[in-house]
Amino acid sequence: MSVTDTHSGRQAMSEASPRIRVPYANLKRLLTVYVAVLLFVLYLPLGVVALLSFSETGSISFPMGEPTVRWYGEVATNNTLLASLGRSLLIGSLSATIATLIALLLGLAFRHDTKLKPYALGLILLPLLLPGVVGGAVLFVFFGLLGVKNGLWTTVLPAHIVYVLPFAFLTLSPRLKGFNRTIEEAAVDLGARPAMVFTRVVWPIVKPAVFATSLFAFTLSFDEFIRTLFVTGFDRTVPVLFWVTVTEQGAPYLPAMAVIIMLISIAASAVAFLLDSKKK
Amino acid sequence: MKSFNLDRRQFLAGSAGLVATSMAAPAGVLAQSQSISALMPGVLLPESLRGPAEAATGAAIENLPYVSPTDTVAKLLAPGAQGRYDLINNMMNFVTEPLMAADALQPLDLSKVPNWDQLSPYWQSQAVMKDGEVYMIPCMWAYDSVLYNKDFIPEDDEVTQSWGVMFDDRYAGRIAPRDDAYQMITLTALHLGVEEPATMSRSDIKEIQAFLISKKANFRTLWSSFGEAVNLMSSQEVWAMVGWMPMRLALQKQGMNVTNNWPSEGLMTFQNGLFIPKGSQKTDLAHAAANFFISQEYASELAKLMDYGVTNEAVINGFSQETIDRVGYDIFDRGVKTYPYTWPAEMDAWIEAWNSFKVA
Repeated sequence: MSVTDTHSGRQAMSEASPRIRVPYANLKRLLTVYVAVLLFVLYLPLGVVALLSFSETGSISFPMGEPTVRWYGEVATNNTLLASLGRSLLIGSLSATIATLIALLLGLAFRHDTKLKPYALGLILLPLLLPGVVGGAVLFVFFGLLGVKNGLWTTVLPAHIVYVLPFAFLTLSPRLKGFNRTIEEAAVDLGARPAMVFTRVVWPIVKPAVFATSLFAFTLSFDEFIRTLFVTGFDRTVPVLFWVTVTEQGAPYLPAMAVIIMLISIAASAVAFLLDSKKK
Repeated sequence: MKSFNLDRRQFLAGSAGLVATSMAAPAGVLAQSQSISALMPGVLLPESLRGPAEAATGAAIENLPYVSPTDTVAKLLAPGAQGRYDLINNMMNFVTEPLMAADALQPLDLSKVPNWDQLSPYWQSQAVMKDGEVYMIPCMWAYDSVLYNKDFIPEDDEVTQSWGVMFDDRYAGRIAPRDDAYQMITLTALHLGVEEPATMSRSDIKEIQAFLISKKANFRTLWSSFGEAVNLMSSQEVWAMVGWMPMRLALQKQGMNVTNNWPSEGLMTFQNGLFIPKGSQKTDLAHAAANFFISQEYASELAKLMDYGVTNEAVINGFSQETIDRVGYDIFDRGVKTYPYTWPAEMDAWIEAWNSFKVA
C-alpha cells in the first residue's frame, strides 16, 4: 500500500467513524453570551465606581466632568484613612498568619483518624454557618462577659482569626491530605527526627499552599465588616471607616477609597491564585 | 516543581514598615493618658470639635461606630455591657423608656456639669428626671422634613408644604423615601390623617402599607445613608426626599436650590440627650465630657457646622433673625405643628409592613 493509499484509507475510515458528540455544542454560543452578560453585570458596578473615582464634581454621580486624580490625592494625604488602611493591613496580616498556622496544625492533625475527628471538624467549620450579624452579636456578648473592652488587638484580631480560620482550614486541609506520606516515612527511615522531617520534607512541599492560604485569609480579613462593626473600638479598620463615612457624611473621595480597597484585595487574591497554580 | 522562595530580609523590612504605619495612627491617642468610650453619632463630634472636647474632658474621647437608637439600647442591655461605655449621646425619644425601665443609667451629678445652668429653661425642663435626679441632659434637637429642589417643585404649592409631596404623581420617579420603617410609616400615617401614629391599630398599619405599595412606582429609590441621599439630590436624580437638617445644609453649600418643607400634618422632631450608663468606671471624665457637649463653644460650632438645634441658652439667643428663619430654630415658638418621634407600640408590625412594601 502506498503512502497515499494509506492516507486516503485513514481519511475514509475517519469519515466512516461516528462523530464524537460534544455536549451542549448547540448551546455554546448561548453560553458564551450568558457568561459575557454575567461578567458584565458582576463587574459593571465596580467599573462605575472606578470611573467615578476620577470625577471632577463633588457628587458621586454622572455627569462626572473632567477626569481628575484629585480624590486619590486626598486619600493619600488623609491621615485618618491611611491609619485605618495600616490597621487593616496589619490586622489582615496577623489574623491570616495566625489562622493559617492554626489551620496548618489542624490539617496535619487531621491526617490521623480519631473518633473525635468528625466532631472536631464540625466545631472548626461551625463559624461558616453563622450569619455575620449573628457571629458579630455572639462575639460582642462573649467579649462583654469576659470584661474585654473593644479594641483592635483585644477584640477585632480574635474576631478576625475566628472568622478566617474555617476558610484557611478548608483551603489548606485538602493539600495536606493529598500529601504523599511515603516521603515522610522515607525520611524517618533515613533517621530524620520529627522536627527535621517537618522542616526539611513537609514544609518545602506545603509552603506554597500555606502562603496561598494565608493570602486568601488576608483578603477575607481585610474586607471583613459586619463582625468587626460589633467588636471594634475607636481604631477603625478600612471597611468600618468606609461605612461610617458613607452613613454619616458622604465624601467625594469615597470611590477612590473603594478602588484602593478593591485593588489591595484583588492583588492579594491574584498572588494567592498564582501561588496556588504554582504548587499544582 | 518550582520552589517558592521568600526573601527573608524583604519580608522583615516590609513587615516592619507595616507595623510602623499602623502604630503611627493611634500614637496621638496614646499620648492621652486617659480615655472614655462614647457611643454617639459621629456627626455630633466633628473633627473640628474633637480637640476642644478632649481638652475640656482631659481625656481622649473614643467614640465607637454608631448604628441606631435601637442598636444602642441593645448594646447597653446586652449581657456583659456594664462598664463598656462611659458616655452616650442618643435620641431621647427612643431610648429613654427602655433604658430607664431596665435601670441601666446612673443619675448625673450636676455639680460636675456646671454648664447645666446655661441650658435654656425649656431644655432643662426636657431633661429626663426620676426621684429628683437628672438622668439625661438634652444637648441638641432637630427635625426631619421633605427636602426638595425648588427648581422643579414650587414652594408655595399646598402639596409641597405637606408630607403629600412624597406621594404626588406629578413628581413620579423623582421621589426618594428613606429606607427606614419608623420614619416612612410615621410620615405616611400623618399624611393619611392618623393623629397619633405610635399607637395606631394594625388595620391602620395595613392601610398605610397598601397606600405605600400603591405609590411605590413613584419612588426612584430608597436611600439609606447620608452620602447616598445627598448625591441623589445633588445629581438631580431625585427632586424631593425625606431629609435631615445637615443634608439641607450640605446641598445648599453645593449651590443647590434646595430647601425643606413645613408639613402641615406635623414636622417630625427629636432631641438627643447625654447620659452615663451604669458600670462606667470613668464617671468624672464622662461628666466632664457631658459638660462640654452642652457648652456654648460646642453648641455654637455644632449649629454652624450642621444646622442642628442646640440647647445652650446663650447660643440660642445669639442667633440672628435671618438664621432663625432660614434654619427654623423657632418652630416651637411660631406654632409649627410638630410630631415628636415616639416609639411605636407595635414596632414589629411596622417593620413587617415596611418589608412587605419593599418586596411588593
